[in-house]
Parts: sequence; C-alpha cells; structure tokens
Amino acid sequence: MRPMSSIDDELDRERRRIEDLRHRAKRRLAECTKEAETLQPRGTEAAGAGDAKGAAEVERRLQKMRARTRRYEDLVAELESGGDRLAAEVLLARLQGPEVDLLVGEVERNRELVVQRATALLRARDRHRALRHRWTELAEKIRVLRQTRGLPEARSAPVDFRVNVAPSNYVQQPDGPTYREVSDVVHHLGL
Amino acid sequence: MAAFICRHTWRSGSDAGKRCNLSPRMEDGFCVFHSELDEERPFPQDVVAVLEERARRGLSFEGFRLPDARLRRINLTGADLSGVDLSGTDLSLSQLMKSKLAKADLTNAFLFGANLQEADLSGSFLLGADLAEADLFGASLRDAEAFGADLRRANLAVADCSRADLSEATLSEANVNGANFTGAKLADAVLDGVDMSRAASKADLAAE
Repeated sequence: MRPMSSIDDELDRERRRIEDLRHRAKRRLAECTKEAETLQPRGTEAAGAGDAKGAAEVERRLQKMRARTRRYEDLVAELESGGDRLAAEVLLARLQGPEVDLLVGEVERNRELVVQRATALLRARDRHRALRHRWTELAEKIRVLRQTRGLPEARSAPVDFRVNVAPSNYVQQPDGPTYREVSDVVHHLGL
Repeated sequence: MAAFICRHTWRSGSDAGKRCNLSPRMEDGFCVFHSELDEERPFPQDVVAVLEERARRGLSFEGFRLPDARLRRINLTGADLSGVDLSGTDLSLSQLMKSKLAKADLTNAFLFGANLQEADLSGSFLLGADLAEADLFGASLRDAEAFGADLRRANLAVADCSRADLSEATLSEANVNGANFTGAKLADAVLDGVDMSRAASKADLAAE
C-alpha cells in the first residue's frame, strides 16, 4: 500500500492548486470587467439613438455582467485572503469527506476479500487433506494387492504431503508477507 | 413545543412515505429546502455541511429548492440532485463528480471550476449558467438547455452534448475532444480556439 503523504506535502499541493484557481478566477474577472466596459458605451449609444428596447437589452446584459463580476470579485478575494487557512480547510474537507469515504469503502471491500481468501485457503487445506487421504487409500490398495498376489515391492517414492516453505523456495514480493508469516500460517493449518 | 415536521412527504428512497424532518420552518409549512415561497430563503449557517452529510449518507434531495444558495466548494460527489432547483446557486469550485443533475434547474448558476466529471446533466436547465473552467469530462449534457451558458476553457472531452441547446453559448478554448454534438444547437455560439474537428460528431452550427 502506498505510504500516506505528509500533511505538509498535502497542504503544499492544496496551496498550489488554490494559487492556480486564483489565477484562473482573476483572469475570468478581468474578462467580465472588460465585457462590462464594452457593453456600457453600447447602451449609451442605443439610448442616445432613441432605441429604448436596445438600451434595455444592453442594460439587462450589463446588470448580469455586473452580478457575475461581483461573484468573481468575491471568489478572487476568498482565494487571495484564504492562504494557509483556506488550504487547510480544503484539505480537511477532502480528508474528512472523500478520503474517509474511500477508506471506509476499501475496508468493506477488503473485509469481503479476507473472508473470500480465508475460505479459499481453508478449501485448499481441505483438498490437500482429502488428497492425502486418497493417497493413503490408494497406497493401501496397492500394498494389499501386492501382498495378496505376491507381486514385487513398490519402486516409486512415497509422496510428501507436507507444505514446505523455506527461505530458499520462498520469494517475498515487495508488498507481500514475509517467509515467517507464511510459514506460521501453514503451520497453523497443520499442513 | 412540538418538533416541526415539514409538509413534504418523501416519494422515493429509503424514507419513502415518511415526512421530511428538515428545518427551519417556512411560512407555508414546508422546511427551507422544500418551501414553495418565492422569497429569499434563510438557509442555515451550516447548509453546506447539512447537504454534504445527506449526500454521504445517500439520502434524498427530492424536491429540494436551493435558489441563490451559497454552496461554494461543496462536495456532493455522486449525489442524486435530479430536478433540484439550483438556479443562481453558487457552486463554484464544487465537487459534483458523478452527481445526478438530470432536469435540475441550474439557470444562472455559478459553476466556475466545478468538477462535474461524468455528471448526468441530461435535460438540465443551464440557461445563462457560468461553467467557465468546469471539468465536464465524460458528462452527459444530452438535451440540456444551455442557451447563453458560459463554458469557456471548460473540459468537455468525451462529453455527450447530443441535442443540447448551446445557442449563444461561449465555448472559447473549451476542450471538445471526442465530445458528441449530434443534433446539438450551436447557433451564434462563440467558438474561438475550439477545435471542433476533434469532436466525435458535428453540431448544427446554423442559426434557425
């Protein structure tokens, strides 16, 4: 699992993101101001020409542009004055919200995974035991057949049913369990 | 004093058939979120936290009216906000990833820098909405009414804008890579710096 980054690193990332958003919002504010400035003389012109409808339309658009400008001014002010506190607030909201939810979901999924894998492991153990039992039966049958019919002794070596985990045959993955952990589990399973 | 119970009865979700218990109370007997009055709503101070908590718990937003609410930086990821009145609402820098906003009223809403990746905005009303710099990657704007909306520098990559009305909308420098504009209206839309050849399908650019 990826190690959790430090608060300082995350705050730094949030600060950079806020700074980027501030630039973008400022750019948009400048665009709004410019658009309002462009509209203003058009309204005056329309009013001067006696075009009441045209002047009203320009005025309506101007009002809308001013309202939008005020929103951007407010947003830029928040992004400019917020600084460290805003970065901390944003980070806290993210950590408390999506990050926690994400982790809760992961825990749920992993809980199911643990049960699934444990079931699979126990099933593999049972199968191993059943195979050993089958082998015993088979060996017994062969032995009886040989003995009763006077046939020659077995030439093949008996099968070793022990699950041998040794440092020499266990390759530990970077995020995988250690040799000791695997060895202990196999021991507990009686294999 | 008896606790106030809003007149709204939930029609869907886990609380279907039950009465809404949100507050504060409005003159018409509904809570501030369901009131049908046109007056300015006294949303509680912690409105953002209240809504975020509902979204996290997967509770319903059915019939909610949040006009002109200040919900800046709110996180409503995955929330079902279908049909909700969000006209004039400040949703700038909000997290609305995979949220369901079908038929939502977002007229004149302020969505600057909002994260709307894979959000369902089908049939929504976006007239005059400000979606500048918004991330609409993979979002559905199918049949959306976005006349005069501002989508400059928005990310519309692989978004479904089929049959959307984007007449007089501003899409300057928007990313439209792989976006679907089949049957979309873009008459008098501002398309400076938009490479429409990168869209998956073309739009109707002719004025009616």
